[in-house]
This record gives sequence, C-alpha cells and structure tokens, in this order.
Amino acid sequence: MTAVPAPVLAGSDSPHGPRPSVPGIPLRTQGDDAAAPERGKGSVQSLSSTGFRNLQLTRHALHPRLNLIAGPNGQGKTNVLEALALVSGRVSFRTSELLDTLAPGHREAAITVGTEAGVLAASLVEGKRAQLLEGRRITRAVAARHLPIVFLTGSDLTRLAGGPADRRRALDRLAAVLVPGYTAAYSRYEKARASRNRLLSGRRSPDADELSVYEDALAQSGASLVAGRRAAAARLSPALSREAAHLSSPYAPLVLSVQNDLGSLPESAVEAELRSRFLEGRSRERAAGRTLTGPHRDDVLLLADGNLDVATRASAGESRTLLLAWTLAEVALLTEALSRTPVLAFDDFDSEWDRTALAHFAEALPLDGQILLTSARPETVQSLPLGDGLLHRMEKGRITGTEALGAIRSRRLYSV
Amino acid sequence: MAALPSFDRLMAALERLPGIGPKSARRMGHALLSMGEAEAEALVSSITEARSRTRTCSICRSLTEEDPCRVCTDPTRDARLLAVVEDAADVEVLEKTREFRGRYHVLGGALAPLRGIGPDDLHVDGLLSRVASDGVEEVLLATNPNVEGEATALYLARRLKPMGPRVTRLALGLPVGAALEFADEVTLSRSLTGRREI
Repeated sequence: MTAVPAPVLAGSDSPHGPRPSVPGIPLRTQGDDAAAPERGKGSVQSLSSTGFRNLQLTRHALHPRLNLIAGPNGQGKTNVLEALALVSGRVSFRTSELLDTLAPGHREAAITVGTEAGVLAASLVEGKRAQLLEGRRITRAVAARHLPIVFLTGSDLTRLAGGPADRRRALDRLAAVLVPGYTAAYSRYEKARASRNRLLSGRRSPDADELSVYEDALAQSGASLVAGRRAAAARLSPALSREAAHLSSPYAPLVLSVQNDLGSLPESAVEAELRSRFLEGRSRERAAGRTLTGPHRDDVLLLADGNLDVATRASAGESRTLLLAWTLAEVALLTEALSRTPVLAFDDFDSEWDRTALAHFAEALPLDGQILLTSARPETVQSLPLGDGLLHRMEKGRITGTEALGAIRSRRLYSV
Repeated sequence: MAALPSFDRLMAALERLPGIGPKSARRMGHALLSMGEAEAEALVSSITEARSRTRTCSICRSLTEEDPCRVCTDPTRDARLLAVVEDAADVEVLEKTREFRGRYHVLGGALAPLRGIGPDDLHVDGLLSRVASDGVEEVLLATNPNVEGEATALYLARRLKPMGPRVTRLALGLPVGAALEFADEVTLSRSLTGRREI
C-alpha cells in the first residue's frame, strides 16, 4: 500500500487562525497528524446504477477528492447519495422500504461501485438487498468497513431537536465501527425484540420457557448495546466538543449522555437488571402487546455546562452548526478507527447552512478524503476551501457532462 | 410469449419448491417440456412412488420406507446419544459425514414467533418423552445456526437440562475453504471463542 501523507488538519495554519482553546477539550495538534495511520483505499472511483430510482449510470468516474453533483431539483442528485448509502451497507436515509427505491416498471436494481480494493455492489431484488464484494456475498457491516461514508442529508436536520430515534441511530452508527461486536448485538437485540413482541401480542398465552429464550437474548445483547453506546458517547463527546469550538459554537464543551432508567448502573450488572425487568414486566407488557423497557427506548442528549440540554436552548442555526460539528467528529473518529478517511457525502450543501460555519467546516475536513456534494447552485462551491475536483452535471438521472471545477471557478471569476 | 396457462401452472408449482425463483422455475419448466416422453413419465412415476412409499418414522420423525426407520432399529447405533435436527433432510446431511453414530430426532421446523410457529407446532413432546424413557445421556442440538435455530436450541436446552442429560450444541465457526477477509464478525467471533489447540 502506498503511504499517503497524513492530512494537515486545521489548526495553527488555518486561514481562520488557531482554534480556540476550550478547557477540557483536546485540540488536534501536529503531533496527532504525525501519528495518523496510513490511509486506506476506500474512495469511490466509479459508480454504476440500473433500476434504482431514476439513475442510469454506467461506470461513471469520480474524482478522488471533490465531486460536485449539480443540477435542478428532481434530477437525481440525492439518488446518487442514496445509492451510495445502500452499496456501503447503510439503510436508505429516505425510506425503510427498498421496493420504494426501484425505478417504475423494475423488479430489481443493481448499484456497483469501483474502489481501489475491489468492486462493491448492492443487488435489490424483491425488497431484499444482497451486498457483494468482488462477486462474493458479504454482510452489510463488511460493506460499511470497505467503503466508510459519513452522510449529511436533509434527514439529519432534525437530529438535535427531534425525537430520540435519530440521535440513537447516529450514535449506533458510530458504535458499530468503534465497538467490536456492536452490529451483531444490535441485530440480535432487534430480532429477539420482534419475536418477544409477537409472543406478547399473540392470542395464546405465551410459553414461559419460550419467552425466557428471547428475554435472555434481549438481556445479553441489550447489555452489549448499553455498554457500546456508553463507550461510543465517551469517544464522541471530546471530539464533538473540539469541533463545536472550532465552529465557534457557544455550546462547547459538550457531553453526549445516554439517557435511560438504568442510571449509572455498572456494566457488569446491566444484563441481570434487564433480565429481571423483562421477567417482572411480562404481565404489563402482555397487556401492551410489546416490550416497553430496554435500550430501544434510550435517548441520547447533548448536554452543555453539565446538564443543560442543548436541544431545548439552541436556535435553529446553532443546532445546524452543532450538526456540522457532529459530522466532523464522526469523520475524525472513523478515520482513527478504520485507518482510512471516510468519504463525506453532503446533500444540498448550500441550502440550509450558515456560510461562515460551512467555510470553517470545509477547512476542518481532512485533505485526503473524498467528498461528494450535491447542489442546485454549483457556483457556491467556489467559496469553500476544498481543493480541486469535478463538476458532474445531472439531468433526468444521467450525468450529461463532467468538467473540472477549476474551469468553473475561472469562468465565474472572469464573468464577475 | 403466447398464453400458455398449463406452462404457467407448472412454473407456479415449481416456484413453491425451496430455493426456486421465477427464473429457475422457467428454466426447469422448459427442461421438463423438452424431455423425452419416457424420461418425463419416469420422473412422474418416481415422484409418485417416493410419495407413496415414504413416511415419517414414528420414533424419530425422519423419512423412512420402514417404520421404525433403520437408524432407530439399528442395534449398533448408540442409543445414549440423540441428535436433534430441524428437518428430515438434516438427517441425511449428518449421515453423510459417517461421524455420527447416535440416533436422531426431527423437530419438523424451528421456533419462529414471527411466523406463528411455537413449541406446540414442533415435535417437542416426543423428544422429551424419548429423553425421559430411552436412556439418553447426551442430546446434541443440531438446529441451524441462525436466529430461529439458536432460539430453538436455547428453548430445548431449558426444557432438557432439568431432565438430566448432557446437552451439547454443534460447534460454530469458519467454513472450510473460507477466507478470513470475507468472514462476518459474528462468525469470526465464534471461531475465536471456539478455538482449539492443534
């Protein structure tokens, strides 16, 4: 593997000057950069898609650094990012029903991505997805590790102020990479919960031994989820604080706190406590027809100044700045954990964001990561310090033209 | 293609077989139609004969032409060791290894609450009766290593352990010939847990 120079992260040489020093928040230093691991091979070299929404792409080549997918609304820009979400093992950020993603008249779809280390594919047939690497079946977790992507899309805008599910999912995505065995524990928990719910809601009185089987699985996997979320939150909190300070958020330092009724119960006692609650709650949950307690009900709060819930105080603009900080922190943690810089996929990057915060965000991104932006106004990218790349013009699901972003900038400069 | 209702019915029947999708059913349908008359009749009569002569063993519930089956009546088989499998086809798979010298018990499926399959839908009571009265010393739970098979194994273990026999589970880990690179983390994790000295 060829060693790529470690990225120069924003710091003392930033055009915005040195990052503010916030008590208790470690700054990224040159020493951190020097210790950065050798970068891996995760970027998208080319993309093909058939039968998926309106996309008709045949081995369309992408730039290793910056790719701006531009075109009027409704042409398929977000579909490109959604296709990348599925091929990289994630769920769609628009729908939970895969059948909704098929083009009209199609019963199946295929998305293929060329990467330096092999061809990654997702096949969607009859509402089910198969992940493939070099033609061999792999799990979604393996696909996610092969092509790590951090997404920032319209569905993320409600993460801070919306319901707990969005925050839980965001933390779970990170835990899946940072905590060994987390994905397996999550999958086991959800399957056991679905089975127990079916027993609880059935007409016949459930067999006590059968319930115990699923309660054991829920308690074991649930304890792993509780421990994994605590560990991921402990890693994310300082990184988030650092990035929030860099983006001049008034809410740094920050602590991500996993909220549930287990309080600070030691990890060694969580499994027994959960098992006991499932057992004790049987009659109440039989009446409700579902499992009412457990990690699927956790919330994740962003706290400032010890116990101030930022979601209740921050303005819409401040929330969006914190979302940018969360994204930067996710990029940094994945880079550290995977020894490769994840791809950043940012949908409608110029529509909802404060220009200054966006410029600071762009400047803080690692220099060696691939970036995919979508926009209806391609000229706005010239204000961001992101390096060179390609503009891909999108029309009715096809790329109708590709040109160097430098040429766009030059044209724009000459026309002003 | 012109309307071929009889061919469509044949394809619909073939699609009901496990692992057969529309494309495979179409290929099989064409292959069946292109067979010679004698070959097709031989196929039909072999299906009819197999259906009329095979039945489930009244002891172990596996497929047999004699009741009880040859495994259940074979005095050289170890009656103290009982392998519990989901389907009759699993018996054939284990028999091919020639490693297992005990007897079998076919459950007829696995617990699957999401599909409405509970203990009463499986041959669990027959298993418990055999363990209670046949001098079984070890029950090997050879259900599939998926969510439903694992849940079934855990359920049976809860029911069997108080009765006294040793309860064991098939080892889980990497398949022979697999590449570590393509293994999922659950399989690798179980392989590490179940590692053995060489």
